[in-house]
Amino acid sequence: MIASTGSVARERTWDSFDDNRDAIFRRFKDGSYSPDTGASPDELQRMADAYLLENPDQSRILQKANIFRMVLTHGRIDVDPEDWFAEKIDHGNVLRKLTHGARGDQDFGPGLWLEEAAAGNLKSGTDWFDQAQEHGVTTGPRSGLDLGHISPGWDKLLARGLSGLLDDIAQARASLGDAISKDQDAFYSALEIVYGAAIDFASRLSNFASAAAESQPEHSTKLGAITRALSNVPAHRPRTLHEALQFMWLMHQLIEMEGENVRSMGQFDRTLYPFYRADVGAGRITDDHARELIKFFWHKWYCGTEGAANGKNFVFGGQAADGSEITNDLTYLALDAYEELNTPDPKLSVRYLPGSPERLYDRVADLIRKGHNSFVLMNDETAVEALVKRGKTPEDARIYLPIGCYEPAVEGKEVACTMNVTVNLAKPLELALNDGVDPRTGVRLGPATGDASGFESYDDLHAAYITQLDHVLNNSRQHIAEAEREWPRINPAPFISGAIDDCIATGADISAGGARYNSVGFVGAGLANAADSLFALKAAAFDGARFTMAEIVDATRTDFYGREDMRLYLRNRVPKWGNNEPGVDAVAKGVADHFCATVHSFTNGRGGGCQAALFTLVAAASFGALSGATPDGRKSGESLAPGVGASYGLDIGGVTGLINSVSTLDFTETPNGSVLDVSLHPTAVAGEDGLNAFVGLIKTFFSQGGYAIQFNVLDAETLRDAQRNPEQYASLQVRITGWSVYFTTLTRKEQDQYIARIVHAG
Amino acid sequence: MPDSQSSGKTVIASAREGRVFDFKRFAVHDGPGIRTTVFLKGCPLSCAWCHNPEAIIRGPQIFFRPERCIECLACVDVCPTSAQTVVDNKRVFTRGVCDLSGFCVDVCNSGALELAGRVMSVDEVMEAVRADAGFYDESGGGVTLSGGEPLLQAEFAIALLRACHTAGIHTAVDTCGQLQWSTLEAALPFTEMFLYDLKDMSSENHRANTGVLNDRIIDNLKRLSGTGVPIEIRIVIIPGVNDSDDQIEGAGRFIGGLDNITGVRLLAYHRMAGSKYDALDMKNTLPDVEPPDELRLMAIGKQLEAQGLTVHLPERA
Repeated sequence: MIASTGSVARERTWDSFDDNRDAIFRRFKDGSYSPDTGASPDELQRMADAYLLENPDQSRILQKANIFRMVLTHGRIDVDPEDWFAEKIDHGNVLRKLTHGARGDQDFGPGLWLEEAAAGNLKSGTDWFDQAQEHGVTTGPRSGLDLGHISPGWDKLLARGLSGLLDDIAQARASLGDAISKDQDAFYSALEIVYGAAIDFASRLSNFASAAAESQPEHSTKLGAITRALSNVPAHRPRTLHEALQFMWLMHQLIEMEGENVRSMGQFDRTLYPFYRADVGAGRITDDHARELIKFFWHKWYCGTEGAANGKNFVFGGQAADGSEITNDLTYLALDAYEELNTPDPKLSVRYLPGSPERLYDRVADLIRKGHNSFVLMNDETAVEALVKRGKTPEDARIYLPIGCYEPAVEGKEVACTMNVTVNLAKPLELALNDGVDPRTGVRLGPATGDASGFESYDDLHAAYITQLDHVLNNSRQHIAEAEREWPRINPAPFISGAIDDCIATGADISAGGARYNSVGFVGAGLANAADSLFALKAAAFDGARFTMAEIVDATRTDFYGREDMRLYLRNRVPKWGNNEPGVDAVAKGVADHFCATVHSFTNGRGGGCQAALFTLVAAASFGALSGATPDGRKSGESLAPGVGASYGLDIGGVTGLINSVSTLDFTETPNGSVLDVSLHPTAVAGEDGLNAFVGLIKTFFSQGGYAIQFNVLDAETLRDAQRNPEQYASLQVRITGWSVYFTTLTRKEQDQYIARIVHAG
Repeated sequence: MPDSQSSGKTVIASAREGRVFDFKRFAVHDGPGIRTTVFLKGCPLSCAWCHNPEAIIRGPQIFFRPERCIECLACVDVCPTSAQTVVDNKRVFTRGVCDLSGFCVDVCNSGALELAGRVMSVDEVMEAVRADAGFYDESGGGVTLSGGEPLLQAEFAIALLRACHTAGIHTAVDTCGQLQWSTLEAALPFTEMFLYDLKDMSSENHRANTGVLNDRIIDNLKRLSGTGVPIEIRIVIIPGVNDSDDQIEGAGRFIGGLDNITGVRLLAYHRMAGSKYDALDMKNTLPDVEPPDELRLMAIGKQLEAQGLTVHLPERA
């Protein structure tokens, strides 16, 4: 049990979140359902299998819609009597097993339709992707098909409910008249089926809650609220903040049941403000009650993910479509709730633009320094320009959301697919040094670019690197486009499609390119290792002639065995990315520019564009494990650099040097996102001076054109890791006023004393 | 102790160049906003508790951390004086015959050998500090000169302050005050804030622990406080040395009588500098006392506040 840190006294007229959080979590995980309420998952699976056998010629979107309805109509349900929100159905992942199978941490086997495509039309592309993944060249979803990174249009949903969508469908049918195609007709029918099913499902839950309220009068407050809410939403516009939150949570769960697509829950303080305002105005809610309600609401997300990958994103601040700044009372109230909640999920992001209140900077910086470090801070000016450059209107660009982690995508209008492929930017260098062959396995992965020992100039080397990189990008583009053309047969998604413009207007599912913006994401990982390695070879083998190319290539093949002197020279004596060093910074910018421009020259399989990103997530470690020693002095198997920043331990120029280097990149050319990870000492940001400096750091990053930044506040655990792995932390300075020393130069005993101080500061 | 090695060509301090031993970027407690602190070598005091022992003498020194050495022996090859040698299959660094050429440092890829105090020109330092101008602008920060005693390299330090001033960069000087008044006076037109160390009000104690009486330090502080420049007083709290109630009361009374004091910043003595003494082969003089605990620091803060002063506790509080 994590104690609430809130200091505001709460009225105890109703039982509080803290009294219930553990029990709600336990029951969410427990997942036991009463057999009286419907069919078991096994029975649902048999019903689905039977349906497919009986309707073999039906279009897949209709097959899926009918099975969706079958699950919601017959599945077992439950309502937690101590919660404010209901959604539980024991669906057994029937739909995902049918389509694309396991995602994230969940493993329930391969998806039938995806595997069928992978073994059939997509075989050569899938084989290439599998091999590229096994060698750490790329990583990503099966067949390079990212089926999601979408946010439904919450404005539209909350304004009119699902009955509003059904009205739109009727209107679209009417305007098409006889000109309606078979595919359009199937699409509209599928939407009618799933929205009807969702409205009926809400009634099932509402009736269940009503009955439960009678048998458990002690819980009648919450069960009564659920009964009333679900007799209104999601069919109609919510009448209260509670109903709006219930609506969003239920929609989220149903979209996830259909296929994991939702990654962002929208602009919280813009979308929900009217409901909050109306409740306060009518005297229906106090701020204390609203804060409690938000905690119950967000706890559902924590129950679903427990701080693991794929946490869902809520964004605050930033601007509305007309460019007006959003921050309001609900912003701060929700941030207070988040602090009291004290869990890593959901993920909160904050958007800033000139004109954002100082209070928003101060409040968020204060939360981060207190250890709530999952916040991502984003610069609207850069993000909006990046999206406009890729063809979005300014009005659409302004309502972008961090759609997964930090990838900007337009709410309700873009199917962003931000993670189709993550490319290891360092691996093409390894291939360039080995004539296209992976030296660890002997497998040819790229074109023959010649014996690297024979390169006569840095230009020769650079050209070989670009050839290898382009080979990876072109292959990825080709195979992703092929996979996208199979998408309508793999995972049609009628339930979310109706909530994405312009699917209803055009009568096309998101899988068939029905969205206004259809994007494909290419993520570049390990920029620092690519740039540092190229620059180290330039400095040591060409400009400086300290070592020959042959010597360095040999040493990397043997993980610098017997050549520690060379490794340390390459690591410690050659300037590195992230230290405001113009030479290596120019190499990094050159690699990034080429990567982004190449990606932006591609069109994708749904008629949209490909969009470049620079970040790593788990790929820094996974690529590193599959990459041999690199000429930047990195040993075989070690992690690549995180995000867009310096390699571990090599940002010896400190955080300002890191930001100055990173600012040389053009983030208006990374429309698929980027992130700079920054470590902070709690002592450096303590007190009023520290908060002011922290905010100054954020503002400088933004004013120099940065996009997204996130912070890791150093803790004792990190410093103990530094004791064990000093090289990875060579740049770690001790932060004590007036003192100048690096952590790894201290004796063990002195390090322990510093750790004790840090613990104290937290 | 001070200046024992600082003879001949190794001492450089002119209006054009001086000896710098470190830069600390994103310094946040050395004056307002985000700052770059430039550490200049040399100090007229030799405080027992000094945590930057490489700052004491004005000439260069070599840090040697044998735990980092990979025994590549490149240093032995380049050493012009046989200070770096192999004896009985062990590499040995004999400081007595070292002429501080720095050649060994240049070839040491592991970082086992490092130079403390390199010669830099005013332009080089300015280029380094100007890189963070964007951070100063957004946070109201600037440049702080520290050390050692930065004004010991008076011409160089004042040239740096002047260059910052001309470039519109806010300047602060962290001083121990053991200087000729004329030096402080010369720095004054280009210094927007002083961080002034006050170690002990008892002159005898002061001499016992720092090597000098405090008369000149006290006198300079009084004169400086009359000039109108903002001054932050800094006191390192060393248990059993300068932290008795009487000592704090005396310091508070003295500070209370001064003008233009922005506040008193308390710094907590720590014992984490021993590795620096070892790496310089210097005798570790750090007092064997526990660092002051948080409660004690807060009590001292309260005592000074009761005397009407604004107090900043150490950054951990």
